[in-house]
Amino acid sequence: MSSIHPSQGGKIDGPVLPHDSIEKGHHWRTKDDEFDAGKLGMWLFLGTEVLLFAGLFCGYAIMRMKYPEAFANGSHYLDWRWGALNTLVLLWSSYTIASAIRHTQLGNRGWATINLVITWFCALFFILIKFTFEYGPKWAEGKRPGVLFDYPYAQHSMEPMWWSLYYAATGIHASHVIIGMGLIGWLIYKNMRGWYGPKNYLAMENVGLYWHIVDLIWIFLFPLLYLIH
Amino acid sequence: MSSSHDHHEHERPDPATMTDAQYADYMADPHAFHPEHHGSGDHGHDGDGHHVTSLTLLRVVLGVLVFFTIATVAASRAEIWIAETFELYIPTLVNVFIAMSIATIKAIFVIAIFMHLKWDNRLNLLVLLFTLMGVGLFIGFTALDLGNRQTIYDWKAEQIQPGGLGNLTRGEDETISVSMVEHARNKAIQKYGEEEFAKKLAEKHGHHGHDDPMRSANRSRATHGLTVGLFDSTAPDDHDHDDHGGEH
Repeated sequence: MSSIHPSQGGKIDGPVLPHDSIEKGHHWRTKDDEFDAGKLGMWLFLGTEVLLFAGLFCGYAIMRMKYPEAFANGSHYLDWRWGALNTLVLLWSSYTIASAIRHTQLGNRGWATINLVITWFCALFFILIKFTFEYGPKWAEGKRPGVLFDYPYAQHSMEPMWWSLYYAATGIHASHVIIGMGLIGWLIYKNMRGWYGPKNYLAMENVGLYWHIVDLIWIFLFPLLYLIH
Repeated sequence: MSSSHDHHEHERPDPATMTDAQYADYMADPHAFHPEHHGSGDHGHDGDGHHVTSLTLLRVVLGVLVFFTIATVAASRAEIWIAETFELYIPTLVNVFIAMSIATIKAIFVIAIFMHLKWDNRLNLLVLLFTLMGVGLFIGFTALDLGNRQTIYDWKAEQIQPGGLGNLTRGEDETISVSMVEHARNKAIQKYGEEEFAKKLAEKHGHHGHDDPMRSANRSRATHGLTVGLFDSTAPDDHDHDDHGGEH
C-alpha cells in the first residue's frame, strides 16, 4: 500500500473514489464547520453515555458502602485474568481504530481497512471471552442477578445485589461493544468502497470516539469489579 | 467613525475590493474563526487542517496504557499477597484510591491523545467537563446523602410519635398537634382573648368578605382518608374562595 502525503490531497493513481467527490452539505458554510458540528454532536452524545454509566457507578458506590462484605465476595468470584485480558484487547482495539483514522487522514485506505478489521476482531474477541468464560459458566452456576439468583454456596445475603450490578454494568457495556461491532463493520464496508479519505472521514472519527468511550468505560469497570475487594 | 477606530477600520476586509475567490474565502469565514485558512483563496476549508497524530505518539500511548493496566493489577495482587503473607490488611479505601487514580490517568491519555481532544475544538472539552460535573453531582450528592443518613434518622426519630399522632415539635416546650395555621391562631386567641382576636381577624379579612374565622384553618392538614365523606361534600362554598391568594 503506497503512502500518500496529505499535500497531494490523498489522490492515488487509478479510479476516482467516492470520497474525492463528496461535497459538504449545502447548509454548511465550510466543510470544517460540518466536521466540527458533527463532532460536537458526537461529544454531546458521549456525554449522555458517560452519565448513563455514572448512574451505574453511583449505584455501585451505594451498594458497596452498604454491603462491603457482599461486594468483596463478589469480586472474588470474578477471575481478574479474564478482565485483564479483555482490558488489553480493548486498549489494543483503541489503538488500531486511532491508527485507522490516522491512515485515513493520510489517504492510506488499505491500511485503514486493515486496522478497522483488527478492531472489529478485537471487539468479537472481547464478546467471546465475556460470554464463553464469564457470563456462561456464572449463569450456569446460578450466579445470576436479582430474583434469578440460584447459587447455593453464597456467603452473604446481598450477593444477588452484587450480581445485579455486575450484569447491568457489564451487560450495558457489552451491548455497546456489540453496537460498536456493527458500526465498525459498516465503516469497513464503506471504506473498502472508497467512501473515506483525507477530506471525508467524519463518520470514522465519530465511530472512533464512540469506540474510545467504550474502552474508557471498561477502564473504570475493570478495577471496580475485578480488582477492588 | 472617530479617528481612534481608524486602525480597526483599516484592517477590516472590504468586500468591494475583493476578487471573486477572495470574496468566497471571506464569506466562508467572515469572523475569521479559521485564520490558518485565510489567504489560501480557492482550496481551503476542506478538512486538511485537522491534526494527524503521529504513529510514534499513538504507540507510546498504547504502551503507557498497557503499563498502567499491569500496574493496577500488580497493586491489587500485591495487596492480596501482603494480606496472605504478613496478615497485614491494607484498608479498602487505599485499594480504591490506587485503582481509581490509575484508571483516571489511563482515561486522560485516551481522551487527550486517542480522542484528539488535545488538539480539538475547545467546545468539545467544555462538553466533557460539564458531563464530568454531572458525574460529580451524582456521586457527590449520593455520598452526602449516605454519609448523613444517621443524622436524618436521629432528627426524624425525635418527631415521630409511636401511634402516629403526627405531632410536630418546635423548640423545647412547643408541641403542635393541630395544623400550624390553627396552632398559630390558638396562640393568638390565648394572648388576646376571644373577643379581641375576633376584632383583629375582622380587620384583616373583612375587606374581602371572609367571615368564617376557621374556614380554611385546617386546609394544610393531610385530612384525606381520615374524615368520612369529606370529599363528597355537597357544600360548594367551602371551595369557592380558594383563588384569593394573590389579593392578600
